[in-house]
Amino acid sequence: MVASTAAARAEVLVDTRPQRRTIRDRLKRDWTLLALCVPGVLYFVVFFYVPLLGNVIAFKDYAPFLGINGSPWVGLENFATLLEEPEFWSAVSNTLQITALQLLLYFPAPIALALLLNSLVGHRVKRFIQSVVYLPHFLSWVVVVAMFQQVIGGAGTVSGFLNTHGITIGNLMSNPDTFKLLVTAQVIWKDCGWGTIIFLAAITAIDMSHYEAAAIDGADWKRRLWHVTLPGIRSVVLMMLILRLGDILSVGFEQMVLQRDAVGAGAAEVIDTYVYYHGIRDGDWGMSTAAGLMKGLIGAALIYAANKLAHRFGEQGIYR
Amino acid sequence: MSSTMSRRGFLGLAIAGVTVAGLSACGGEGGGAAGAKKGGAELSKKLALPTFTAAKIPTPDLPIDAGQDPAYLKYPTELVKSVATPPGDGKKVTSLTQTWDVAPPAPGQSAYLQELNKALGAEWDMNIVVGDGYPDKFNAIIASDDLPDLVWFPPNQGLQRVPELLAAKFHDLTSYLSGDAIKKYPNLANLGDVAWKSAVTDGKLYGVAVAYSKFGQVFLVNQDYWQPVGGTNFTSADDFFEKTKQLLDVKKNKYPLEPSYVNHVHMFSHWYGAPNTWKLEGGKLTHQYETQEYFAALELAVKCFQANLFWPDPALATIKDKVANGQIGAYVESFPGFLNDAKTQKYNLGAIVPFAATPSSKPVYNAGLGSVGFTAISNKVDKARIETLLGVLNFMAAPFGTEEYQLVNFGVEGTHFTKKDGDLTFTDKGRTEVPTTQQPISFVIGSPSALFLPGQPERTKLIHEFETKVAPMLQQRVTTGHFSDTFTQKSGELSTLASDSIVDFVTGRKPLSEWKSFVKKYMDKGGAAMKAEYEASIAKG
Amino acid sequence: MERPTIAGRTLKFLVLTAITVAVLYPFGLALGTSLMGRAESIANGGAYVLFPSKPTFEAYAVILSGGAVTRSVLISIGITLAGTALSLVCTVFLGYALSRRGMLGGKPILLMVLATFLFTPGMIPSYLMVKELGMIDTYQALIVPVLVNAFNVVVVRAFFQNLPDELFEAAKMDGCSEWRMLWRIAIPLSKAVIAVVGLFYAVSYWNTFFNAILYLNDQSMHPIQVVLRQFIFRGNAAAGSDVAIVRDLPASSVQMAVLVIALVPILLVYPFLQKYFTKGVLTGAIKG
Repeated sequence: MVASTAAARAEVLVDTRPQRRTIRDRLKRDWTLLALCVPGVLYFVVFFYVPLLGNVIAFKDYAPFLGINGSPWVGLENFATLLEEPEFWSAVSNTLQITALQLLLYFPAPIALALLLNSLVGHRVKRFIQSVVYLPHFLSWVVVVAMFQQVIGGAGTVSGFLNTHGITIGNLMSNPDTFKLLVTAQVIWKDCGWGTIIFLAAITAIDMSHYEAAAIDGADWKRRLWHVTLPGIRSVVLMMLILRLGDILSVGFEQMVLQRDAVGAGAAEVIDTYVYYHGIRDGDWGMSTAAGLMKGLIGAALIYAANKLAHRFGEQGIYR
Repeated sequence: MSSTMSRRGFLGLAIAGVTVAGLSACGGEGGGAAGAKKGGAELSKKLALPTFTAAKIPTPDLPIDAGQDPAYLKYPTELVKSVATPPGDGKKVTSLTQTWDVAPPAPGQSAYLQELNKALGAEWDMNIVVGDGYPDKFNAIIASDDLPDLVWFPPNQGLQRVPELLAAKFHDLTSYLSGDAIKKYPNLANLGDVAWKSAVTDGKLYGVAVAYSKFGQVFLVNQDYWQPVGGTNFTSADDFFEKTKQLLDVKKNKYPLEPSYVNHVHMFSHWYGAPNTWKLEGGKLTHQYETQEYFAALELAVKCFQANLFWPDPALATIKDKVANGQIGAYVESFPGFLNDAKTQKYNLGAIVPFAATPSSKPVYNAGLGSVGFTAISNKVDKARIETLLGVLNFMAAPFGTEEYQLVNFGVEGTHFTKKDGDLTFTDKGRTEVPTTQQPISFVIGSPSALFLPGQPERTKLIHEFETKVAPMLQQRVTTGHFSDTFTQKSGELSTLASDSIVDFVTGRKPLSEWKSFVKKYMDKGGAAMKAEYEASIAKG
Repeated sequence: MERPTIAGRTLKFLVLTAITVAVLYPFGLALGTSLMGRAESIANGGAYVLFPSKPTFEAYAVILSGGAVTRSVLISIGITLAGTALSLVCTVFLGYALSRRGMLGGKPILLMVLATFLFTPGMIPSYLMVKELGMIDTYQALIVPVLVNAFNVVVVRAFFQNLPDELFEAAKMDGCSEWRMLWRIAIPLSKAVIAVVGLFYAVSYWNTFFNAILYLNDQSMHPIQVVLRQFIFRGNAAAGSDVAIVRDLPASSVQMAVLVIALVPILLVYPFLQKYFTKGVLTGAIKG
C-alpha cells in the first residue's frame, strides 16, 4: 500500500546517494549543514565538555579551595567506597525494580492516552481533555505526596471513612511491600498527560492520506490503528524507549526522599538518594561524581545495546 | 529534563518542611563546623577562649539566677548605648549569608539599611543565598576565589576540610579575640564560652561565633488537647503512655503525637536520663546509642507506635494546623521554633518538662549548640581593616536592651516601629523592611538570646518558667569544643544511618532485637573512631 | 468514517471522564486551598479543600504585595521568551543538520550530543565557566548555560527524519539549498514537534530556580520560581531552621497560591500551542 511503497522508495533514494566523495567535496556540499551545527556544538563544548573535564575529581579527593589541580589523586577509591557497601547494592536493586515497573506500567500509559485522545471525534471535547491532562505535571512532588496522603493516607479520606464504619485497613502510604507500585502510580498520575504531548505530535506527523487510503480499503478503526497510527509513531516510541533506558538508573529523587520515613530506607533508597545521603551531604564531591560517571557509563551501554537491537529489527534507533 | 535543577529546588522544600526537623532531631550531633583533617584537634586546646564579660543590659523583669535568658515583660524604657562611635570606615562590608525569608528590599530602597549604615559608618552589603542553596554557593564562591569580607561557616552543612580552608583563605583572628583581647569588643565578650567554643579550629579562632539559643529541642503541646487527662505533668513513662493512650481517638482523627519518630525518641531519652550524644566518665566516652537509657526511650517510642499514638502519615507539612485544630496533641520543636510558636500560634501552647521515666531515672534536658557556626574574615581583606570589621560585628552583636540591638532588630522608632504601653509594634514599612533584612544578618552575627514577646507577657512567662524548670537538668554536650575528623567527614552518613534505623525500629520494620547490631554498625562505621578522637582531644584538654 | 459502537463509546466516555476528574480534582483542591483563610486552615487541620467556606484572597494579597512577585514575573517572562527563542533556533538548526543523511561529521556530532544526555558536568566547573565568561549577575546566566538540551535535539532530529524523503529530493532537483529546505519544508511540516520542544524549553526556563540562586547574587534579578519558593519557605519552614520565622500565613494556602500563580502563564500559552498538535499536517503533502 501507500506506506510501504513510500518506504521502499525512500530506501532506493538513500542507496542512490553518491558515495565515495572526497572530504573537500563533502565539505563543499555540506557547509550549510555544518554551519547550522555551529551554535549547538559550540554550546555543548563550552558549557558541557569543558566543565565535564571537572569530572576527573571522581579520581581525586577534591576540595573546592584546593581546586581540581591542587586536590590529590586517590585512584579508584571513590568508586570502591560506593561499590563495597551492601546498602548501595540494595539501592541499585530498588532502583532497577522501580524502573522496571515504570517501563512496564508507566511507559505505555502516555502512548495509550495519546491514541485514545486521537481517536476522539468531537473536536471540542478533544481539545478540552488535551488541555487538562497535562496539568498534574506542574504540581511539585511535595504537593503530589500530600494529595495522595490526604486521599489514601493513614489519616486520609478513605481510611477516615472506613474508620467511622469500623473497618480498618492498613496505611497504603506506609506499606513497604506495595511502595514500588505506589510510586509508579504517582508517576503515572503526575506525568502521563504531559507524556502524551510528544506522541500527539508524532501522530500529527502521519500522512493523512494513509488514513484516507485505509478508509477507502474499508479498514475499521482497529486496523487503522494497527496499520497506520502505530507504524506511524513507532520510531518515536522506540526513540523515547531508548532514551529512557539511558536514564534507567535515575528514579524520582524528590519522591523518594519525601516518602522515606513512611516506608523506611530499605524500600525507598534508590541510587540518587543513596549518593545524596552518603556523599553529597558530607561534601564528598569525589564519590558523588564517581556515582554520576558510573550511571552515565551504564546508560551509555544500555543505549548502545538497545540501539543495536533496534537496528536488528530494521529500525533507525536514535543513531545509526 | 533538568533533573539537577528540580532536585535542588525540591531539597529546599524538604529541608524547610521536613528534613531539617529530622536532622536536628539527631540531637544536632554537631560539635561545631570545625574539624580537623590533619590532627588539628591536637592543637585546639591550648587556646584561651575570649574572656567572658557580661555586657551592661537593663535589669530583666524575671530572675536570671538559674541561667535563664533575660526576660522582659515590657520593653525596657532605658536603653543602654553599647557602642560609642560608628565603628566603620565608610567602606563596604561585604558578606555571604543565607535567608529562609523573602528577599529584603533593595538597599537603595531600604530606610532600615540606610539607617543601619549610618550608625555603622559603613555600607553593609550582603550576598544572600536563598534557603538551602548555601553549601553549593559557598563552595562555588570558594572555588572561584571571589570571597567577600565576611563568610558565614554554618555547622552541619557538609562543609569539608574547614581547618585547611580557613588556614588558606581566612585571617587568623586569635590575637584579636583570645583572652582579654576581646575586651576591645564588649558585645563579643558577652557571647559566652559555649558559643565561642564552636568557633575554635586548630587551636585558633578564625571567626566570630554566631550566638544562638543554648537551649535544645522542646516537647511542645496544645494544652487543651491534654485537658481530659489533667494536663501534661506526668509522673512516669507509664503514666505518660496511659494518659496519651486515652487521648487517641481514631474515629475523630485525633492522634496525640506528631509523626517525627526520631525527635520523639530524643524527647523520651530526656526522661530516662540518656546522655547528650556522648557520656563522659573517667576520660572514657559512651555514645548515647550504647546506653540502656536511650534504648529504654526507643522502647517507649515503639510502644507508642504500636498503640497507634503517632499521626499515621509522616512527612507532614501542616502539623501546626493540626495541633491548633486539636488533631495532634504534641510535637517537637527547636528552641527558637518554640519562641516563634509562642509569638504566632494562638492555641494554648505549653511544653512538657522532662520528668523521671522510672523511679530510678534522673531526668535531663539536652542543651543546644549555643551557636550557628561562626563568621570568618577573608584574607583578601587588608590586615589593617580587621579591627574595623570586628568593630562592625561588635555593633551588630549588641544584646537586647541596647540601642544597637533595637536598631538591628526593630529599626527606627516612628519609621519602622511604634512604642505603646511598653510594647513594640512594627509599622507596615517596618514589617516589609526589617525582618527580611535582619534574618540574613542574623546568620552573619547574632546576639545572646533574650525573651521579649511584644504584647504577650504571659507567653514570655511561660517560656521563662520552662527555662527555670529545665535549667537544673541542663546537660551540655561534653564534646563541644573538641574535634573529630571522622565527625566532619561522616556525620551526614552516620546521622542518616541512625535516623533511618530509629525510624525502622519505632515503626516495627526492624525488631528491637536487632538494636545491638545497629549500634555495632554505627560504631564500626565511624562512631568508634569519633569516640577515640574525642577521647584523645579531651585527654589533652 | 463509521461511528464506533455504542459500547465502545460508553467505555471511552467513562475512561475519559475518570481521567478528567483525576486531573481536575487536584486542581480544584489547589485553587480552593489557595483561597482558604488562616482560621479555616486551622479548622480543618491544614488539609486541602475544594470549596473554602469563606474564600479569601489573603494569600494572593500577601504574595503579590510589595511588587517582588510582579517584577519577577516580568523577569521570568523575558527569560522564557528570549531563552525559548534562542534555544529553539539552536535546537532546530542542529536537529535539522543531524537529520540529513550522510552529512560530513554527522555521526560524531550526534554522538557528542547524545553523550550530554548521559553525563553531567559538576556544579563548580559550570559556575567557574559562567564566571569566566563574565555572566555572574546577568540574565544571560539563566539562558546560555542551558541553551540546548540533547533530548530535544534528538526529538527534533527524529521528526525531521520521519519526513518523506521525496520532498527533499524533489526540492533538491529544483535547486533548493539546505537552508531553503529547512525553512520551506522541514519547519512548516514539523510545527507540532517545534511546538512541543518549545513548550519543553519554555517550561524549563519558567521553572529556572537553581541556576538563579547560583549565578545571581542580586536578589532583585531573581525569577519567579525563586521568589515564590521563598514564600513557601517563609510559610512552611521554622521547624528546624536556625532563626525563628514569622509564620503569618496558612502554609497550605500559600503553597497553593504559589502553585496557581506559577501555573497561570502556562495555562495561557498552552491553547496557542495546542492547535499545532491536534491535527495532521501532512495531508497530501507528497503530492504538493
